[in-house]
Amino acid sequence: METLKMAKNMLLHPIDFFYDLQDAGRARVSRGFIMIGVVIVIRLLSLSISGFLFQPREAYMISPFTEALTILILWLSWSIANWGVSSMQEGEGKFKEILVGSAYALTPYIVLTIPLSLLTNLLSKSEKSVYLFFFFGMIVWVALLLLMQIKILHDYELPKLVLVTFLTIVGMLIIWFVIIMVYGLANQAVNFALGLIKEINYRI
Amino acid sequence: MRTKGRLGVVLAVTAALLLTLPMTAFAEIPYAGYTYNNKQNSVPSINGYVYADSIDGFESTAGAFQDIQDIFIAKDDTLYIVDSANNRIIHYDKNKQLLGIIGDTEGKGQLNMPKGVFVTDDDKVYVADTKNNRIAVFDKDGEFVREFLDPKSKLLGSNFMYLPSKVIVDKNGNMFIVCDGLYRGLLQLNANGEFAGLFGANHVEFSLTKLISNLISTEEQKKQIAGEKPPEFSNLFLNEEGFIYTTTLGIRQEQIKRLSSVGKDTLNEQSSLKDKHYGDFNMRGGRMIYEAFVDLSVDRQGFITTVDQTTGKLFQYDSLGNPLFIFGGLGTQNGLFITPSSVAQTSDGVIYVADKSRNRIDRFRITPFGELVHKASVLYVDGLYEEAQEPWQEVLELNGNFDMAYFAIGKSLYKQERYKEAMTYFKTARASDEYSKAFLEYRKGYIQDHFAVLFAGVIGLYILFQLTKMLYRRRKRARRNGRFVSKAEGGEA
Repeated sequence: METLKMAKNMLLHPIDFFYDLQDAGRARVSRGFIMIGVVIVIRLLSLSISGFLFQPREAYMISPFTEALTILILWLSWSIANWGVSSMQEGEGKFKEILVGSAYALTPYIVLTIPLSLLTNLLSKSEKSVYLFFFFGMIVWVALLLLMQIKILHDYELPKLVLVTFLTIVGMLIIWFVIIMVYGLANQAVNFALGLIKEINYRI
Repeated sequence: MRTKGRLGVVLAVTAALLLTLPMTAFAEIPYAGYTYNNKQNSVPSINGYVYADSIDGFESTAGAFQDIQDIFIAKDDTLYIVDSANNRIIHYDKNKQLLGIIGDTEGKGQLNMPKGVFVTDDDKVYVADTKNNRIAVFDKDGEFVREFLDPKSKLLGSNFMYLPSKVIVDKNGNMFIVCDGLYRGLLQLNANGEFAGLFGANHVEFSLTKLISNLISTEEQKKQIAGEKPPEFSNLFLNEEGFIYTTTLGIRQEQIKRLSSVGKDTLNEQSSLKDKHYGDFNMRGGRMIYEAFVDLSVDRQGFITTVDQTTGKLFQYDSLGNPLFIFGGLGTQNGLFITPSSVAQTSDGVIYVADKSRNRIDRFRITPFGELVHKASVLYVDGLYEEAQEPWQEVLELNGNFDMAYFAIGKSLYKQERYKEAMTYFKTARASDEYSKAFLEYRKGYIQDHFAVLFAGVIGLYILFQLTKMLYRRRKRARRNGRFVSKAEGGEA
């Protein structure tokens, strides 16, 4: 119930929400995961109920696992990067607060996606701009909430806000790069080891 | 003794039975039929063409062929074979009977490595006599008539080597020639052999890497990089309406073109895709392997059959460029090729494919499925969508992978104003533009039919909304009043 109330607060009084979040015991990681779980469910639902013209992928082309992982990685990498950058830039926010606040910042997505997906069933290709208008409106809303979060949680002025946001995005890219690189190297190493074992097996 | 006699009888009967068996050999088709769906994935399909028999020169006094560079089928369905290494053109009828051999052993009529042949409606044989640097003309009895030598024009440049490899002649006697090494278009000569222009040149594709490397490299480096040239034509075909179809080497899209009388491509512009690709998608070998379309043939109904030397396959497209059938391949079984070099077809739809390494010509006949698709496709291309619906439905019964059929049936249903069904078919064909059009019509119709209900619904929703608003306000006011009252009471107390 508390989660729901907080989500409502995020929509109506976002500034209050972020100030309240800094109170002790408010930022609970479990709530962040609940919100992200809801986001994943909403994303999958929207993929399956959207009209053919707006979501041309067929059911077999959609992997729930990949969709969930994409959202999770985006959320975690954003939070980690933001926390890392802000720690170096005298930010006051705690990792827990960033993690939970970022998850709650997706509330507009949760609320608006299903009506938008239903709307796509009533629109033709030439009316795509209507859909895009609402869709981008939603994206801008979420982006503003995230900016607000950085500003309030870390208590930044505007120039610093811009700098930290930019560095956070760079940080996210670096995290992805490292993940991909580690994956690639680990893959090579495992392949090498397997090949070695096979080779030895043949010789024996 | 008795057993021996019985054995003899059995043997005789078996021999007699064997004789009555049909003599055609039954062999499996060495290639699996497939086609491309709208996602550009290859999907299994029924073969449209199967191998029938071969012509190798030994069925007549002509003898073995060597290095068949081109074959041409004239209006009377007789076959001209460019037997290049033997310096002769062989004239066959369609029953494999030798009609004549063109190419003298000495004198003006002697050929030297010819690479192309064309026969006009009045039976004049034009030979692209490549190593003699000329176009040689023979009459129908094989007598040398005249020759067209290097047209000599300043436009061709001083380094130009005149090596004509393929030739066609239009109704007015103008010649259009593919020359080896001439990348600036087809060489056009008038009826007297004078230079008349360069026709329908290909363009250099824009490439970002080239642009960047040009920006950062010095003058010296630029000189070392090979000059960027437009891709060269490899072959051409003249259809009855006077359109020139061409094949081009070294590019990945629009390898096949249909040039109008002013040299503009009219085949690919009707496609909704920006870069129309012919041949296999996702070829083995990736980006470094290019299709090599070396010849094409277009029948009276506009079906384009083209041969790709890289994969050894023949690709057949309808006159709008939609893929219909793919057959052949690399190999040594009957029906596969080693180096296919030319394709032609007779008016009854038999496809002739020359293999220059194997030195023979293979004939392919159309299957019943192929005929059905052709029938449906012709109706569809002519815009008779409703008439085409039934044959397309038959096609789908035989092969549910044929995406063209879903699209065509959708069009027919759309024309019949059965929009809901049309939407289903367009969705299966993944044709989003057409789906959107059908959807608009369906929505319009739906709103008209259910106007009263929808209108009532909207009014009902509005009233409901107003009512809740009123109630909400009243409750809020009541609550506020209550608070005031309690406060006031508290104050008094």
